[in-house]
Amino acid sequence: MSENKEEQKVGIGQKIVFGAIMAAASFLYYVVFLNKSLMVLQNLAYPY
Amino acid sequence: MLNLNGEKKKKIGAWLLLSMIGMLVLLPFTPAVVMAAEEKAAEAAAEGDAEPEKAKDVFYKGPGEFGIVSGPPAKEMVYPDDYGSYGDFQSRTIIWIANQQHLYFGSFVLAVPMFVWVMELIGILQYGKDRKAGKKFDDLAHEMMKISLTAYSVTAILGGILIFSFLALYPGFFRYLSGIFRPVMHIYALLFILESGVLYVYYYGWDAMNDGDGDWKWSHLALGTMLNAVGIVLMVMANTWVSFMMSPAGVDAQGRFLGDIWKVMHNPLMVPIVIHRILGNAAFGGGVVAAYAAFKFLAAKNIEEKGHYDWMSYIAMFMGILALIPLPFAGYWLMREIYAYRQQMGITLMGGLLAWVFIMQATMIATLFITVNYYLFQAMGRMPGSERYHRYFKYMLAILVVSTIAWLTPHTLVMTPAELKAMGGAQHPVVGNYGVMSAKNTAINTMITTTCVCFIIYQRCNFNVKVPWAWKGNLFLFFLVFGAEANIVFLGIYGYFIPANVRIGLSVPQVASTLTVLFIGVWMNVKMLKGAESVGEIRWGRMSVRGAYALFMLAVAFTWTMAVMGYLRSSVRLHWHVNEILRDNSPWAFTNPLGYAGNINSFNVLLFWTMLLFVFWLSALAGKGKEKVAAEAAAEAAGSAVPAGSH
Amino acid sequence: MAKKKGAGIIVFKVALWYCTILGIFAAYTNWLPQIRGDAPEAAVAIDVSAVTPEMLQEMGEKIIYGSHDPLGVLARGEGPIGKGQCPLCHRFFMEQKADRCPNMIALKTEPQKLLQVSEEARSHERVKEPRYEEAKKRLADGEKDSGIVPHAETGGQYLIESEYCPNCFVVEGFGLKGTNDTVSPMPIINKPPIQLVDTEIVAVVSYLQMRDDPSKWTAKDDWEAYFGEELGANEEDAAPAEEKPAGPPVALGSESPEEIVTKMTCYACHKIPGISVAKTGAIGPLLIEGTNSANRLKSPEYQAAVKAGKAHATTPREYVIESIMDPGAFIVPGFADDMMKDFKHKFTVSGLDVLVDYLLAQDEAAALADGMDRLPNEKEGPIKKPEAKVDTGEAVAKNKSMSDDKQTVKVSSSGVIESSTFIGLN
Repeated sequence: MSENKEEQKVGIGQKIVFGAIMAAASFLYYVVFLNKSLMVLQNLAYPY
Repeated sequence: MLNLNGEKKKKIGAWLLLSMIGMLVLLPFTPAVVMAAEEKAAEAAAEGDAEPEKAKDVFYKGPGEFGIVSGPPAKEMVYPDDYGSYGDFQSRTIIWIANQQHLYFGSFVLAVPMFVWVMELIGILQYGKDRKAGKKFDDLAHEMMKISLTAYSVTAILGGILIFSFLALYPGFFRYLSGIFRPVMHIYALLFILESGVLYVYYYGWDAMNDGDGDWKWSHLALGTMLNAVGIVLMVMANTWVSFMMSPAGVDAQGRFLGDIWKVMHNPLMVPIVIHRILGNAAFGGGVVAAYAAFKFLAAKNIEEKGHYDWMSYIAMFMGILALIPLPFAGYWLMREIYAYRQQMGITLMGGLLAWVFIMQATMIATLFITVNYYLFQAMGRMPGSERYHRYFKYMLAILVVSTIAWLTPHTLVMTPAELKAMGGAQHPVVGNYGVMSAKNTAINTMITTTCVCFIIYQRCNFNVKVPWAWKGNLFLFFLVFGAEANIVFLGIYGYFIPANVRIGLSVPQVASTLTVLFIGVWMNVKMLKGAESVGEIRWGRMSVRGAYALFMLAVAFTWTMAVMGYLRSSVRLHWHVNEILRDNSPWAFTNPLGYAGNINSFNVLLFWTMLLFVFWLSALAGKGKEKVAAEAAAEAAGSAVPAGSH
Repeated sequence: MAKKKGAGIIVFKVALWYCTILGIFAAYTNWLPQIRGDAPEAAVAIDVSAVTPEMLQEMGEKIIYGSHDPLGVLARGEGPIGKGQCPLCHRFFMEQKADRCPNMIALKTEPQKLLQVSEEARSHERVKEPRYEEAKKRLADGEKDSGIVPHAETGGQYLIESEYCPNCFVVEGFGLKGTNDTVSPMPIINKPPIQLVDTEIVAVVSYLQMRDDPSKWTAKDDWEAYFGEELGANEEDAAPAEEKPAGPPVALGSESPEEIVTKMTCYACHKIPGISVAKTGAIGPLLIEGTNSANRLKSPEYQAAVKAGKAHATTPREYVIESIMDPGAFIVPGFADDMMKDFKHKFTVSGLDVLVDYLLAQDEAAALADGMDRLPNEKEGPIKKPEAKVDTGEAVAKNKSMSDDKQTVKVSSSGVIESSTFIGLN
């Protein structure tokens, strides 16, 4: 999705590493944090 | 008329005005204080003579929640004595239309000052940096106010018509309700007069008080603040009657007023309905102004004018959408409060008589989202550089369409026995699986996420990102969106494997994923656009004609959704005027089927827009220098304000 | 695009666009199912002294059919069933199919003399039957469920007695199988689940008496003569119960199996283990679908129905769903096609799931634990071994007290949740 010529300088390996970190972070955030914490909260708070 | 020469005079004048505003705000409450004191005295006297009769509140059940009986019981309504009719018309439908029209115009004149206030504030803040930009916003605010002014008199007239319809068609009911609310009726009337006064000073003083970002201008903004405050209080007060009808409090089981008007007003559903209404009004107001601008855009004669209205419609649409986003949460809260108030009422709404209305609501929401996306696609026509993104549109549209179909698949189908046999049950073996909550939530969240992505693209499409970490930002955005969507779909599928009572909890992390994309995504995008290189200025006025028609669609969908949800909210009382207190004994006590409501809604929306067209035309006349018309309308409004409020 | 257009043309185009959208919206709402929610009859406080026979007759009609136009309801293919639920088993119209319990109409075509007269006339015959005298002697100490000693003197009193004490006289051929017509399948009408109050029962009898000839009304006098007190004297609590939500009752996923069984009146015909209201139904099979459904699927009768293209189920779950949604698809041998056909309009998918899960969790052991057994006309025969019958008295009593205990119900309903974890369709 990069639109800039200068960005081509960034090596593909660098991109893969950062991409992997981001993927892990998004997994941790969505699945571990959001789903877990909100479902726990929900079970406590949802009265019906 | 105002001599604004001299710094000192200016300051004194502005402060004088501000303190007058402060005094005026207090005015309506003085009679209430006096009356409360009188009541206290009367109570004391009564206690001296004889033990006053006490009765238990229908809602406030705490210890000591016995009020002194201060009103007559709700009389049992008798047909035809307590009801009127016009020929063979359903009286209720007449009241329905009168109410809906009054509500439309009321919402409009309530919502527009909110936008105007924001626009004026932006204008003042911009003025210091860029006079031209500041003036542009200020002119926009002024123009919006002009429309609102004419609509205001129509609102007052419709309010009068509504009152007369009530007196003519439901005199018994109206007598009871106005008996209960007697202690605050005069406050309503006084606030109405105050609102009119502030409105005229605000509008007609616009140019006179415009000194850029000086004290006069800030005073003018203070007037706007007060206009909004009074407007909201007026809306809240009118709303208490409606919420009292749904969930009465402050009366005993026979409907006798127990002396504490605050308990009557602060009934269990009052607060959530008020919040829902304010947000809904704002979204609706945005839609109407956007449609107005879209019309002006189409009719514009030159590119400057076109550009101005293109910009205005975009701003109005954007503010409408901003109000729309929290609306589902307010709705969810309202529904929870309804369940808490009466489980049965909730079931009638969600799983019983009125459940199909929610299918209709789902359709409307899907329509709204597709239209917003379509509008954004079209609007990118004015953005140089947007061509780079055109190829993504078809995929986004495909996602939206698939989601809509899942979102619309009904849960249970009503079928003929033959069809039922052919399918082997009310649930289709394959399609039935997409009709359940898990699939629906997944669909709606996917739609909102897609809209977010569309908006992010819209924001950046005429820029080249220049920040050195752009590639990281892009990857971050990619995984933000991809992760959210993967999570939404995962939760949707997971929902099929767990029991219903656990499944219902899945919607929260789904919505949280969507909101993450909305807030974090847009925030990151804005960060990335810092110092970005522009491909070209936005060419306002270059939006396609279809974009304008999308805005009309959006406006109609807002108006229609409001109508159908109003039908729902009102129908849930079933055969009660005042839930469980005052029974509807007229022949029209039944709940109309959805199709009838749909016809009436379409009629109402059409009537509203026809009247609105008249209003726009009228304000255009005034714009051509014929100030007299507006003045006459104003006089008319002031005249009808008194009967509308005094009952 | 930038052509100069008159405002008039634009207004026209936009108006056309508006009308198109609004037309589509309105058409869509009309295409969706239309449910009209009628207001329930006003809960009028009845002043018994001032009530006229006609008012009672009208009230009775409403209690029996739930409508003042039962034939209209029948014509729509639905059952005209009011809160008294009488037409579930009794036949009131030629158009109606119900033969579990005695007829309430004069069947012009029947050869028997008794069936050619109205129910009012029939009632006078019943009290004179020798079998009624026998019942009087047999139940001289009082019938065990109602505590009533049969003592009707007139036809009207007999009609009243039959509602308070269905066992006091069972019409020949209509008793539970194997009881020699001493036990009636009919519930006691003034007790749960139907629980009509005295005035309502008088209203029902008034309807029966006045149906063919309004001059035959004696219901109120009959009641007062039968009970030896004034009607309405102790009816402080006679105010009809809180109204139900409008529209037809719908079984929802948020409800418990017990609530669904009550709402859908399954208990009127079926016994279901663990459901406190469903202990007496003797018209349909005992619902232990954990055991039954698999056996029925395998049965040659079911396979025949499949071949005939009537039945389609291949798994026990599908079988139970089919039996509720399309009762006519397969009739359990020994039973008639009597089940209401409109349940397909009355369940949400999740509501159906709740009930099906519950029924599939019931088996022979659950029935035994609740002191229930198959009806004699079920092919499978009784669950209980004959020798076990020796100590039934105590065992049944014990089981009954257990099933009243809420804990038993809880255990079974948590079992339902477990089973639905993997079976759940949605």
